Order: sequence, then structure tokens, then C-alpha cells
Amino acid sequence: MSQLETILQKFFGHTSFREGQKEIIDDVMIGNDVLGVLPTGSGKSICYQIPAMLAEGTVIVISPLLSLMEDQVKQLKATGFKDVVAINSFVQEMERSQIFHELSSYKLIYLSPEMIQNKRLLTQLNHMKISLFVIDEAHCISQWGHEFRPDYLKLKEVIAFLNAPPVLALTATATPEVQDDIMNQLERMNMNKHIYAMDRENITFSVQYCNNTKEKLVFISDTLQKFPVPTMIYFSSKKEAEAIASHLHYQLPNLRVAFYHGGMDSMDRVLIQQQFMAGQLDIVCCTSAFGMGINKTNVRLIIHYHIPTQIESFIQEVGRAGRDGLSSVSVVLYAPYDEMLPKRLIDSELPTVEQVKSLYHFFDNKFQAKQTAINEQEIMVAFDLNEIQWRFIKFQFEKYEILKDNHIMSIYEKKNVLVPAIEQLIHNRYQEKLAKLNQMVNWIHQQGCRRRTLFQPFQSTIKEPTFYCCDSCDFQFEQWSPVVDIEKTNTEDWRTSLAHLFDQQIMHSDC
Amino acid sequence: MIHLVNYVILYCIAKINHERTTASVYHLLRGKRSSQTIQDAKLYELSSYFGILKNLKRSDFEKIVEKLQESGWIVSNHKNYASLTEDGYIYLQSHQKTFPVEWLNGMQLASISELFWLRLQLTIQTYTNLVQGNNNFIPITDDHTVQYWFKQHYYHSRTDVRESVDHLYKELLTLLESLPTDYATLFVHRLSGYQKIGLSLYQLAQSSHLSVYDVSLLLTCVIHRFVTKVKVKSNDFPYLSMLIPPSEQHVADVVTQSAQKTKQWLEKGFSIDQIAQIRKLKRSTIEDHVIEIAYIDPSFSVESFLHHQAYTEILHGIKQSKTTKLKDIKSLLHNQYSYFEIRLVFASVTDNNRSMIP
Repeated sequence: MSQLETILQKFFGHTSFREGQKEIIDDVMIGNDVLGVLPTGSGKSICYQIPAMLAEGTVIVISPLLSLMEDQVKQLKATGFKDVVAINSFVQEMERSQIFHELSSYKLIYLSPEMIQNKRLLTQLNHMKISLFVIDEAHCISQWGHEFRPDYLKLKEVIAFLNAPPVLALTATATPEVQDDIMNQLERMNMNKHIYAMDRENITFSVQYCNNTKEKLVFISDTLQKFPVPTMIYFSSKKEAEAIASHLHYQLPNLRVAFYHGGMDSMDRVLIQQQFMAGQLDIVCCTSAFGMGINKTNVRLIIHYHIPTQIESFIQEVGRAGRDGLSSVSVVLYAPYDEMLPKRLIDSELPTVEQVKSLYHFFDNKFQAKQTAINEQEIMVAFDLNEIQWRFIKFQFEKYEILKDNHIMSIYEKKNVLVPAIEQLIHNRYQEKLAKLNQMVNWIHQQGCRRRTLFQPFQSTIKEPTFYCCDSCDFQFEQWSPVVDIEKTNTEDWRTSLAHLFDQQIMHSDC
Repeated sequence: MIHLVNYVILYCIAKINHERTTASVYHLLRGKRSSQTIQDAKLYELSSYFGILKNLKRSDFEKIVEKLQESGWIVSNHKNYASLTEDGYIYLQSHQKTFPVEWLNGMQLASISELFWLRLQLTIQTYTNLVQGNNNFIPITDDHTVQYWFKQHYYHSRTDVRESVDHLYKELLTLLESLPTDYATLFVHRLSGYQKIGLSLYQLAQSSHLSVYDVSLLLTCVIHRFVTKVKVKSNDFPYLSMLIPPSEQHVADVVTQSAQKTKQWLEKGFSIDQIAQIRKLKRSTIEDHVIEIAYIDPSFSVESFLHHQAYTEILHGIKQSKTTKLKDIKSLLHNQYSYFEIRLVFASVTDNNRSMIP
């Protein structure tokens, strides 16, 4: 066994690499810049975790997904790789300065895109040997990508400031245009591309038309009654995830159902996630907040109760099924007017022109009153902006040099340029997002092979499905025979349960 | 089905009876670290309820209050001052024994027991995994200070893992056997460890047909009970005793940071006026701090602020007056004493003594 395989076995418990992993690691280890496009569930993170263990110096990972970072750090620590840390807004001030103090002792540092703007952190990193700079979810750098993040555009300068270490850009979903854009934005046109097909042979695609939500419910409970398999049901709304979970709990007393969303407290989130992984739960009704760090191999069924806003996130969510290679199914439920909810979501991702205007006036007044420091939280509350909307405005204001380091700069006479420009931008972005949604909706309504049409924008060929392809080609639910490996846990009385937990003989009282 | 939380809120409103807004009950149950809340807790004999529902959401609290109103148990004016109706009192009376409020000791235990509970859960999770040879698990709590505590504890304890598991089991079993079955079941179902992930609050609520808040309230009752027992009989619970944080920690956790600083100056021998000058704060602010400390810190002595005779006279006045309103007490005492002095005496009297006050 080579050194890489030994590490893979020791820390990750796999005997061999999955497609693409070894190729990327080898390329990265000799110091090349790499762009890796690997499907969800293919173990992207191993591509930088193993180099972090082997290379001299420190690997930096930029990731926008805070819970994913936290999960990865926990999992790495659990396997025995302890020199790893995540620094993001969850980390308290005091702990943060402790971490900064011993920064160079870490082999792997996860950072949020906001955090890497921190001057103190940057200065310290500048004095360290950075062996690799990783950009996870690299499609966020591209304006064509489905999750554009303005902060990512600053990474180019950050990399230069850190003495230009080799760069590894990773993503699960990137069309050829987005791939080019990533390299463009990073100004690294000579990246070695490792592009792997995104479609997985063992996943079958289908759409279920329903007349109303009641029919959706009937379909779900009938299906689960017939196929009691580990299932994730995706919702766009926390409230509905809770409501349907509670409904299914009573409808399907022989299955264990729970809900999961970002509004739950952190211990309950950990518990639900771990129950699902440990096979103590069968069905999770969740929002997109669930599943990032899920390493469960036997999810057999992914149901979309609401349609996602674009095919990229749909592909990511479906990719959580069947990581063990066994037959798994994706069902999208569609009822008339179901496009309305994602449309509302898109609205909430962009500020209105009015909000931009009034913020502009607010800043103008503040500047004239010589109160230039801003408080982001207060602004978000006062102008009724959510975080995504505020991030959008902030980036534009910084671009036009109205804001710098959270201070208002001279605004004088910029209004005539700025407001129309931002208005145009909001309009364009809205149209782009709408086009993405239409792509998703069209996919639902079209008659052709679902597999082929879904992956067409990303790759020219598709793999031969191992089981069924899709409901246009060969699939009907009645034929499905998934592996059902749900174990039943018996409900025990507390004494038995406690004794089991503590590995004790159960005492039978002889009095 | 009775909702325990409704009962608790109703009880608190009965005690406060129109003298504070209902929001003060919310702050009390959440355990807000402010002089006002801490004082109110003592003033209205609600110390044991302090911080017993830290996860209570404002919107849910308001819904419950609305419901109490709809049920005709309370009436409130537009400024959110509420009091109980006759039906409300009857309801309280008839549900007195539905759950063991007497186990609660919020002011003294809220922060200690929360920490104890996290430590206990992490300890159980770790030991039950280690004893099965599994080092590969994700800690149940994200709280880094708790994780750090466990590492220290594990490193220093030097006992064999098997032994620790057995001890822990025995001590827990003793405690659990003194509980009603329902409570013991909730507690055990919440625990995580080897091949057993605990239930979320929502799941516990579902399986016990209670509300989420009722479940967390009952768990709090149980934990307070455990901490009290372990503290009193530490010889019987040598293992669990190690999991209880020292009481200095408790004072530091409950008292506001600013009051904490005042405490440090006081300990160095400075007077209230001197501290006000040094810290560039108003005298009244420093007085608030002193009152706060007096409420929380069991080792605090009023003698450095008040002569014995003054103390007994004020105490007498408090007992004579039929109200908890400071203004009335002050005039009853012919305005001889300042509000600060009267509040100090209030603070120094324990809840049990206070109950004798009409």
C-alpha cells in the first residue's frame, strides 16, 4: 500500500480512493493549481484533507457553509487528526484570540469568506507557510454560478497577499462557462482541470404530479408504507417541514420521523443528524440546511416536497442518496402553482431598488453629519434587509467606494451613477435567477429522458444506469425493490435502556 | 392535559400581582442577568424560578400569556400589568401538586446545573463509547469549554474507564430510582452514548405527550434535584460530585460583568463612593451592583453597609408593611432610611424568612 492509501485507511476507513480523489491529490502535492469538479458525495474534502496531513505547512480552506466546516472539523478530530480548526462567526471573541495565538500549530484551517478579510488574521497567515489554498464551493466566485458570493471575488487578492500558494478550486456543480469563469476570476488560466461526470448510475429520477398538497401527503405516506427506506424529504419552509413531519409521525407509526431545520437549537440539531446517521431515524423532513455534513451511505429515497430554485441545488440534494451504490430514487412532487414559492424565495434574495435608494440617502446624511462608522446589524434591522440582501448591497457600495472597512466614504454626486447601475444589476440578477428556476420547472414538465436533460448543461454524455433510469424511460414505482435495511429499535423501559448504555447486567430485584 | 409552563407562568403572575409587567416574568424564567430581574426574583419570592426556562422564546411566551387571558385566568391592562382572576387562583390551587416545583432552585442552581448537565451528558457519551473500544464519535455538545473541561477531567482522573462507567452507572441509578417513572424515562431517553443517540426535546415531547417547554421544565426539575442531592451527600456520589462546578463559578455566571468588577473593588476595601469615582459611574449604579451581589453571593455580608440596629429596624418595617413596594416601606419608616438600605435588607433575607412576611 502506498503512503496515500495507508492514510486513507487509517483516517477515513476506506481501502481505495474514489474516482478523481487520487488524481487530484497527486496533482496538488507536486504544487500545481487544480480545478476539480467532482459530484456530490464523491468525497471532495479528502482532496485537501490528505495533503494537509502530509504537506509541510498549513492548508487553508475557504468555505461558505459554516455547518459543513463545523461537521468536518468534528469528524476529523473524531478520527484522530486534531490539528484542525474552523474560524467563523460561530467562534466567540475570546476563543478566537486563543486560536489566533496558536495559528501556526494547525495543519488545516477552515475559514469563512468573511473571516479571511480579517486584517489581523491575514497578517499572521502571511508569515506562515501556506502549502495549499483551497476554495471550496468554487462556483460561488462566478456570477454565472447559482450561488454567487461577492466576497469570493476578493480571494484573488488574498491569495496574492499570502505569497501566492498553489490553489485548489473545488465544486460539485459547474457548467463549462462557470469553470472558465472560476479560472478567469482567480487569474489562473493554467489550472489543471479534473472534471468528473456528475450523474450517478444508481440514482433513478422521477416526478409525481399532484393536484394539491393533500395528494402530496397521500403519495408520501403510501410510498413510505410500501418502501420503508431511509428517506430525506426536502422543504423550502421550516414550518411545513415541521407540520408534515408531525403528520407522518401519526400516519406511519412503524417509522421513525423527525424534522430538521436551521431554526432548531444546536444540541437538537446534532441529535437529529446523529440519529439519522446511526439508523435511529428513518425519515427526516428537512430544509436545505440538512445534509451538508451527512455521511450516511444508505439514503434510498429523496423526496422534494417543494421544487428547488435551480437544478444545481437539486443535483446536490439528490446526490445525498445511495452513496453505497445501491438502487435509490429521487421524486419531485409537483402541484399547480408550485413555482410561486421559489419565486418568492428569489425575491427575498435580492434587495429592492427602494431599499437601495433609502440606504443611499441614509449614508449620505450620515456622511454629512460626520458619522461614518456603520453598524451592519442595525442597518439590516432598520432597512428590513436579510443577510443575503445586505451582502449584495454592501458589495456594490464597496465597489463604488461608498463604503470602505465599514465606514461611509464621500457620496457626493455618485447617486446618478450608482442607483441606475444597481437597479440594472438587480434586474439582471433577477432575470438570471428566474431563468434558473424556469430551467428547473421545464425539467419537471418535459417529456424526454430526465437523466439526459438534467445533466446536459454540465456534460456531454451520461453513464449507463445500473438500475432504472427515470420515469420517462423505464421506471415505475411499483417495480422498485430497494434494499430495506431498517432496523427496529425496541422501546425499552428506562432501567433496561440505562443498563444497556452503561454495558451493565440488568439486575432483577429479588425483593 | 395541563401545561406545566402555563402553570408556572400563572404562578409567577400571581406573585407579581400587578406590580410588574408580564415581560418581567419572561426575563425571570429566561434568567436574564440584570439587577432588576434578580431583585424582582427575590422581592416576589420567585428565586427558585430564576432561569429555569432558558430556551423560552418571546413569541411563545406571549402566546401563553394570551391563552391564560382567553381561559379567563388572568386579566391585564393595556400596559401588560396582569393579575389573577378567581378562576385563575382556583386553577393554581387545584394543580399545586402536578409537578415538583419544590425541586427547583433557580437562583442558586440555574447556571451550575446547566453546566453540570452538559458535563454529565458528555461524560456519559465519552465513557460509554470508550468502554466499548469506540474512539470514533462526535461530541454531543459543541460547547468548547465543556469539551475542554472533560479533557482535563479525563486526564486527571486516572481511573480505569470500566471503573468509571460502573461508578457513574451506580450513582445515576440511585438518583433515578428516587424519581417517578415518567421523569426517569425522560432523563434516560435524553442521554447519548454508545450506539444510542438521545432524543431531541421535540421527540421527548412527542413520546410523552407533553409540550417541548414542559419537557425542558421537567428535565430542569430533575437536574436541580440531582445537583441538590449530590451536593448535600457528596460522599454518596463521589463521581457525580466531580461534575459540579464550584460555587464561585456560579456567582460569576449569574452576576453581571459590571457588578463583578464592583465586587472586586469592594473586596479590595473601597467604599461605594470611591468605586463610583474610580469607575466613573453613578453612585446609584454601584448601589445596584451591591444589591445584585447581595442577592446572589451566599458569602455576602450586609454589615459593612448597614449597622445592626438599622438592619433590625428596617426588617421590622418590612414585616409590618403589607406590601413589597419600597416606597410604602420607606414612608412607614418615616423616610429615615434610603431606598438602598431597604433594598439591602430585602436582599439579605432568604426566601424562607420572607414567606413569613405577609
